[in-house]
Amino acid sequence: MPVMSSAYEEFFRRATGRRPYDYQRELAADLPSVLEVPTGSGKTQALIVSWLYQRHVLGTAPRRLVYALPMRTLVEQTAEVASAARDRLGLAAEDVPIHVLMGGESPTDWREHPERNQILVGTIDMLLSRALARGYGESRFQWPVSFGLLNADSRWIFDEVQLMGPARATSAQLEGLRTKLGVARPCETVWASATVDRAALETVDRPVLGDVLGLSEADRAGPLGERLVATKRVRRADVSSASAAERVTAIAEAVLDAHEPASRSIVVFNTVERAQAVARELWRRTQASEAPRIVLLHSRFRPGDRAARMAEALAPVSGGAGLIVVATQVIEAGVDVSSRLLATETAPFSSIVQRLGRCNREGEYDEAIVLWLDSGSGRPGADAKLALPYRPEDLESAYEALEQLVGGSASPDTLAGLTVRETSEHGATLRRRDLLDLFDTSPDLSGLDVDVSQFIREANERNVSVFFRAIAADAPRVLPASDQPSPGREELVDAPVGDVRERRAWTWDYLDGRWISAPVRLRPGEMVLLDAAEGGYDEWMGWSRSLSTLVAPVAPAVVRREEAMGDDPRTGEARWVSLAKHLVETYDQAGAVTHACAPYDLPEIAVAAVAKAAALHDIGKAHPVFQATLGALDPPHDGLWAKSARRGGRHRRRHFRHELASALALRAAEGAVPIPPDSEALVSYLVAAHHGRVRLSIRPAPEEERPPECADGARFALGVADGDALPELDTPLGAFPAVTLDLACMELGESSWADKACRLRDDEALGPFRLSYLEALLRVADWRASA
Amino acid sequence: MPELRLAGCRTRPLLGYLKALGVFRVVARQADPQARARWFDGNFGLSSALDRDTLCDFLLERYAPTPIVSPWNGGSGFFPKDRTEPIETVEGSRDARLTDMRQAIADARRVLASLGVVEKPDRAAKLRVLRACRAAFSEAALEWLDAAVVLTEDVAVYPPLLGSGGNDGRFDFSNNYAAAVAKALALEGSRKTKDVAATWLAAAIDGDPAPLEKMSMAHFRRDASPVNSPLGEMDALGNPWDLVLALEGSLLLAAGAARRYGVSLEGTVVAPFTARSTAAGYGSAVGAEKGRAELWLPLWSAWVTLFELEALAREGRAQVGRRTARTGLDFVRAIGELGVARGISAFERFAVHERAGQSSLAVPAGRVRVHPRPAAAALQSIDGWLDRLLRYGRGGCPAAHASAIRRLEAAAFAFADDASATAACVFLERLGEVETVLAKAGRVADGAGLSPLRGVQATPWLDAADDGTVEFTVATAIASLHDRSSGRPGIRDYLHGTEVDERGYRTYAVENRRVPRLAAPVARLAALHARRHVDAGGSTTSEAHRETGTLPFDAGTPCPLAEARSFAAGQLDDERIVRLALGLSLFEYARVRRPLRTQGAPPPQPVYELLALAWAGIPARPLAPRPGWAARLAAGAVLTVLEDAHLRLTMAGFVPLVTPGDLAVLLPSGQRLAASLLLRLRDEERERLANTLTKRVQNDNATEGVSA
Repeated sequence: MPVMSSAYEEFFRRATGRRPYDYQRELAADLPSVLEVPTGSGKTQALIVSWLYQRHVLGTAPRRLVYALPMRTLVEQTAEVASAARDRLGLAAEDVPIHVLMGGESPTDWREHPERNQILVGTIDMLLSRALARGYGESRFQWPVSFGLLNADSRWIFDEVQLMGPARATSAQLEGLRTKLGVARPCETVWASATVDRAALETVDRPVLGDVLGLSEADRAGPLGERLVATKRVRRADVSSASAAERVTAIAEAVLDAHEPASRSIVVFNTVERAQAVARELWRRTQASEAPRIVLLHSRFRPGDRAARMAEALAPVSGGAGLIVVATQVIEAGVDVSSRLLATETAPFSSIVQRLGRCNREGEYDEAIVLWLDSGSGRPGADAKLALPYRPEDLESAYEALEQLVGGSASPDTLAGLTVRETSEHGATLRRRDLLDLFDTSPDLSGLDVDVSQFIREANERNVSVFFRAIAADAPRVLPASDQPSPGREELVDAPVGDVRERRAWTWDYLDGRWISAPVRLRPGEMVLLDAAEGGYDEWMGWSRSLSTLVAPVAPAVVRREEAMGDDPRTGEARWVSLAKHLVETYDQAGAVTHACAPYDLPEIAVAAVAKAAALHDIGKAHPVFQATLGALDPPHDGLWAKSARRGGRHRRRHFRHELASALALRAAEGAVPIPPDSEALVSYLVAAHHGRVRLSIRPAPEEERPPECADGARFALGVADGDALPELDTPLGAFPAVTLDLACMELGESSWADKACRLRDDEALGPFRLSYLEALLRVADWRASA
Repeated sequence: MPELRLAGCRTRPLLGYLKALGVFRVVARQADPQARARWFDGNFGLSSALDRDTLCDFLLERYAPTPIVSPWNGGSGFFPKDRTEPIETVEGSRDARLTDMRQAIADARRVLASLGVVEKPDRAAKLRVLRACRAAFSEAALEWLDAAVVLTEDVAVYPPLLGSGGNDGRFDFSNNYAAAVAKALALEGSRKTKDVAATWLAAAIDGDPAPLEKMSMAHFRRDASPVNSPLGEMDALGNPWDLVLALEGSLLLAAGAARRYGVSLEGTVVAPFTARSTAAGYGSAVGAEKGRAELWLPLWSAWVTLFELEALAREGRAQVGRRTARTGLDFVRAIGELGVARGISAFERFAVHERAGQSSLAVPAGRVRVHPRPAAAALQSIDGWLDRLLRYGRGGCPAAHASAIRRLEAAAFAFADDASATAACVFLERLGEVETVLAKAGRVADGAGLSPLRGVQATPWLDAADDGTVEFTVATAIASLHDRSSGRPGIRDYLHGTEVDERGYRTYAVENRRVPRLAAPVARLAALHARRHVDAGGSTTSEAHRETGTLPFDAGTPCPLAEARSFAAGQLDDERIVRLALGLSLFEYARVRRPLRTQGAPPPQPVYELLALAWAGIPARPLAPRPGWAARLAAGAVLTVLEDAHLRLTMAGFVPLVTPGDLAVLLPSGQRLAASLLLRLRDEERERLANTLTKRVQNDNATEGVSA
């Protein structure tokens, strides 16, 4: 495609200021499944710019570019690459908004604009958990929306595949299942890395790897080639010793010994704890003014501190005593930094290759050193605990390879010539039935939630997001939401689940809308409130159990409250809106959104169901319980209201959900409303699901009691009961008759809700991905109408 | 649509239940997706496009068996030492109905080859094989894996229905399934004719007798009967279709365990409709100690689709309050709270026991009907405490503790199940028993982190347990005695020997008990009363106070006079009163506003009544007993106290119409009087006593009593 080729070349030059390499050009012409190019050869740029071109110029690519990275450090960096390219191309921020997903995001976000071009950048944890309908740090009631949108109209990029762990197979399975179960808009996936274990991407539901794109001969002959032969001499420092403390001392000595003034050294450890211990020792030994600066870098920092540490680590080094960066695997991938001295512990060989990529990257040093810190792990018979978080076998084979390299040079080409065995074990595999389970987000009120972390991370790498607040030492087990607003992103730090389990910790109880300290198992990805006075963090060390001084709190930029089961976040908005008007507004919005998003590969009737559902979604607000609540807030005149000008209403029936009343009313009025019989089930489902609370099953809340005014034996759930009456009302589809609600559908049997909902989920023309996409569109329309 | 009643598929034994699910599952999957099913009168009903004959025809001719292979088990037919012929028969067959099975066998062989596993895998290898199978199996074969094994990251846990991962003792389900499939479908090489297969099928679904094959049904049919002794197993006879259909049915109970990952690593908890054993409610003689688990299999009376049933199994759980039912006791409670899916009419309960050789047997343990039981709220109020207690009881605690706790668990089960006042009273008695036993070895209980129940409101318990007996009324009146301010021991501390420590926490760890645990109930209450006066008096040094005394407790639910008279007259079951009071005393009464019931009109007890008046006076003229009175009564010096009280009443302006001398002829026992005088009488009844037993005079000394 020469025409396209030259147009793209020009586009690429505008976006980056230089000509594309061959492989970068190729990428824009034909999207591969796997992009396998060495670090530092511009793959992030290539992936982003080619999408911008295909999306913005050609209009062929999916609307969302979902860029998933294994580490937080890479997220900001990638977002910067994206915004730089966008700015150079003269695109406005609203043309291609870039959203960084790291937990604690505000509710007005990317999900509100499914028809826009968007770039989402985040960690694998954040993005993949959302694609599996269990978004980390995301309100459970938003799970279906993210699931619907991320599995449609999205190009997924998984970068630094070698660090993905179980997520590698999960991402492949997810892609395979999307193909099998059908999506509302096309989805694509590209896996990118310098070294791709291809077998791990061939899974039961996606057995064929697909095209692999690498450097062309011309690329290898050009400037990229220089990197491939840049030399680094490998030396070994024997730091093995019986005690951990002695090892730390020996490592610090070896590093200081090998460090040269006016240069950057990078020391890489396998665990945060060891990196912290060595950094502490180095700080102790470098008090003098002429000593090198020490910067510690790992994944357990607040965003602000992490950015500061990263800036220090990447700052150009000229003159003086130089800089020693003590880091964990965060430095392994994608971070564009080079060093004269690269020291590393024994690690799996693929990690060693990545780490060595941070040394004499462009051949800028004549004498660059790789210092192998041989602490004994990987030697035959070594303590398996030393190997953690890796498998001893992997360290053993890496050890053998490193021994061969000692004394010689380790250029990327030399390393590429070595074959080192690494175990590839099956972790948990995401199967169709798991996905269908995940589709059901109905609040599992007894805490038995599907835990997706097994599909995303190795067990020993599971984190919770903690934030610190000042809490009295004798604080009660339960803290009201009013005292503790939701954490802002800037407050959140990753901390290992195990470290936090031992402390006084509060998590969000969405049922009653409060922070509760309970001896329950912490879920990975969960947000956890800790007492700042108990310590655990500082800006230099990051999260560390051993720190016991007061943690300086960071004020969140946006104060908001977590969502609870009984909340209607957008009911108390800025103005009074009558029910009839709100239905019309939502109906119009739904038409506009569906038109703009243009779901394809869906029966017309299913797409039309979104607007029908929008026209009726809030008819349950005509329920006397809801109207009484708004009536108490002084509406301007009589009538049925949908929104009040202020917040603060409490329903007289606890747990009352108007959307359940809407869905039941719809069933009660069957035949009296102009909805084709074929789409009745879908319309009622969408209506019920429009707050993400009532989906596949209808059950009472735990400890919910029958409303006192109801007859004995009346069925009830979520504040709605048999015999509740709704008045006649106007809807965009015409007059809706007065109806009496009947909860027979919550029981097993002919009219069962579960049966109809499961049939929609398993309908070949719909399926879980398309169904939740439609759910998302309705919710977006509702949000916009409520704005 | 034809509606069939399958007489061979009954709710009991387990085999019958599973067969029913099996027929439904294969019909809905392979013949008619609109099929519906329900239970009635213990029978299974199937409504589908198939009538009796077309159903049999479908099963014999078109039904494609779901692949069931377990290459992670020794004995599965994949390893040299196994019986390999069943799998090889399937592999060798060209029958189109077996395509999925052949595929699964091939996948299994490929997995084993890729991992280099050539013989029965050890523990670590088993986990690797399981993971690899879960990654490689077809959707169809995955159902079996997920039903038999719940894979978590570090371990595999096994839902008890299918033994340990599809293996029960020496019985491998998958290998036997392959053998049964060959016979049931009359495959080439099975040496069975279609006619024989048809006879078996008829027997399996209609329950007609048929000649049997030499084969075992494992615990699907085993029960505790001697015929099924472990040694007899080798000669067990069975019907191949029974096993095929039952295993098809067991797949419906596939754990859907993804929902539960990360919550618990116990097979009993992650598997649907499965709970840890509760040693209660069995009709059989099987000892509870051997219990592995319980199955609570739902029965429903509405016509359901397979979708609904699958959804039900995926939820597969019951809720108690806010948590998931984990034990049999939890299940029965959940049922009472309606914490189960709506539309289930009853649960068929099976106890899965382990016996020699690690093979299991599933004992029918009765049917529990679903209907709301108000008792639930009462049990909910002690949920956390009870849970800790039961866990303690299952661990290595002293035998006396374990047996008391087991009795309590059984009582809790019975109470949760029938919610009668009688069952509630039994539960309360057991509760008291446990408290006493724990306090007796207080250090042990305390060391295990147990502490006495606290903060539990009495009202739901009184509502649940009031059986209308006079004993219950008297026991409540005693148990409800309490002080308005803290500081002094509560009545429960006197009864059980617990104590409130300096920080205000009640504890089992007590050096010296306050009251000897006398065997005779009345003597015990009398001693309690006497001791209480000592303790109460000890809290003040005021001379006047010592002279005037105080009531034994500040407050308590008043006992109606009629009931107090019966107690004072010795007409009641005193043992039961104390047993009930031991349990009832563990609750909080400060907020109880529930008057006690009264009935009947027993004859007056003048001595008791006169003393009761001297003990408390009337609202306008309160009196209090002198410190030594209770002790002297307990020691038998009734006349002395009576004379003293007579004098005191007279001085207070209540001149008794009879003299102590008049009454001396029929003096009741002092201990009984001391015990009875613990009861607080209602204001208006004391007023009435004052009016009938005394003549009121204005007396200058009248102020003395008021100051008390």
